[in-house]
Amino acid sequence: MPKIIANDDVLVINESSTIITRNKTINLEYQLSDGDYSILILNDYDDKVTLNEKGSISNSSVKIAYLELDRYDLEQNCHIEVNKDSSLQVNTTYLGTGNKKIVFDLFNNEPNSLIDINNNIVCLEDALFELECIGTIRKGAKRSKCHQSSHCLTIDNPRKASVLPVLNIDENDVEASHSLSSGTIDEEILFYMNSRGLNKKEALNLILRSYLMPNDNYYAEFDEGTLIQEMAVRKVDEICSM
Amino acid sequence: MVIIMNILEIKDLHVNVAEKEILKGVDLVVKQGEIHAIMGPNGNGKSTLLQTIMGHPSYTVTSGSITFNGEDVLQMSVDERSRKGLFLAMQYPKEIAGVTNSDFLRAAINSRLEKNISLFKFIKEMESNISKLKMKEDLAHRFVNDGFSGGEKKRNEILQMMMLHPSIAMLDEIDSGLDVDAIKLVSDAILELKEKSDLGLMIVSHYERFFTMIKPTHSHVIVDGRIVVEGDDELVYKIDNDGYDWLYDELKIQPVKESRPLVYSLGTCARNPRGKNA
Repeated sequence: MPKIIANDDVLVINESSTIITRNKTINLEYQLSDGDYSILILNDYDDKVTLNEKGSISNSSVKIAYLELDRYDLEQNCHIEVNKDSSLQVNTTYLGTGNKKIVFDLFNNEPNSLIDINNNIVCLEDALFELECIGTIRKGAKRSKCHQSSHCLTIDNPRKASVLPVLNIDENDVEASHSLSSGTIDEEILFYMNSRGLNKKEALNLILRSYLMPNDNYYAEFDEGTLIQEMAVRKVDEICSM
Repeated sequence: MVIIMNILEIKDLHVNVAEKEILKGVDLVVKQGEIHAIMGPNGNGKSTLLQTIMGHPSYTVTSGSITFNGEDVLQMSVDERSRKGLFLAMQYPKEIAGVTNSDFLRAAINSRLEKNISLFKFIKEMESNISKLKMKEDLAHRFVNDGFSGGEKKRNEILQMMMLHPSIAMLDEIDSGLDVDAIKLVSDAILELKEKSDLGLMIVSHYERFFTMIKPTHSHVIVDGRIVVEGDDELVYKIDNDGYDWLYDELKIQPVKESRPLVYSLGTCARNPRGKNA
């Protein structure tokens, strides 16, 4: 799987890739067809990044994972059209610190298209975090499915943590759902963990890992799987030592 | 050779929950190797006593003391109490989605060790205990209590107790939700741990069956926030046969009636099966 260090403004991809952002503005474009694709977008730029993404998927099964664990600002606009007999699975992991504004605009364009997006977010005290996740099933996209779920954990009263799921449905014969859970750590859970000998930081560490690394196999298919896991563990340790 | 005896001492303990006094002067001493049965009608302070010893933040100690081996427990944080050797198996164990049992238990074990437990030793011990409790083999990789049945949650509490090796364990209705076979398994595991480590136990239960297996050395009945009668296992059997009424008559006391919050319906716009608005 090629690793692309995104230094260019415009990036066109046409195969499974790992994209590591190293530029202020990246315009990512792809038209994926007739295959199975896995794309990992990992933000590793030490300053504000603007990521504009425009994709279209035909006769394909595509998985995209987004990972953003840095404290720098982020503006992300993602527009993906899913065409006939295609599926798109999106997994996002965001650490909400600084200013982050993210919009996912995902379209079931044609019949038998499937979209499934899962967002995991941890918002810290200095966060101004906004995520808008819009799924649109267009007229004629019969037997399509569009599901989204988001989990947002807030720690130490972030300045703003906003997650907005939206579904626009213009066809009858479809399946669609959205779910959102948002809140801080349950005091009873904390007591339970404390009662087993874990102090507050140790308990928080375990909970944060579960948010930022929701599944051990989540990134396993990417060469960077181990690196990502180490990054997440390091980041969690850093947060918990504050 | 100096033999250290683990002793939990509770003196004249008064506890409030949301401004209401629940415990009204409890005195109790639990030593290692002893098994104390704590009985009493619902809502009279049994769970409050255990939760207070463990340090639940909703319970406020207004007077009295709790010491463990001479140290002031009330000055300790919850995690410190656990690391000192106190353990509470909860009546309603919490679910922690996303955190696996093995990660949770390893972190809990490591929190009380200077050098982390080796992965090999941990897995070996966990597998052996899972097998003793006849739990599912994939337990280590499942999230803590997430999607567990009531019985599985209770067994998981006992598993945690077996892995953490406490000095004094408090079991809050650990037998509720367990079928007859599971009660036997759990009581065998508790007794084995007691034999091995001379564990001291405080057990809240409503069922004589469990106490018959565990064989308490001491028994106490809490009514209206006070221990009103104490004895040995004979008291457990008497209460199982005769209930608490004889005690109320003899001591001229009345239990606190368990209060449940009033639930008001704001109405519904749902339709009933006959097609009329409910």
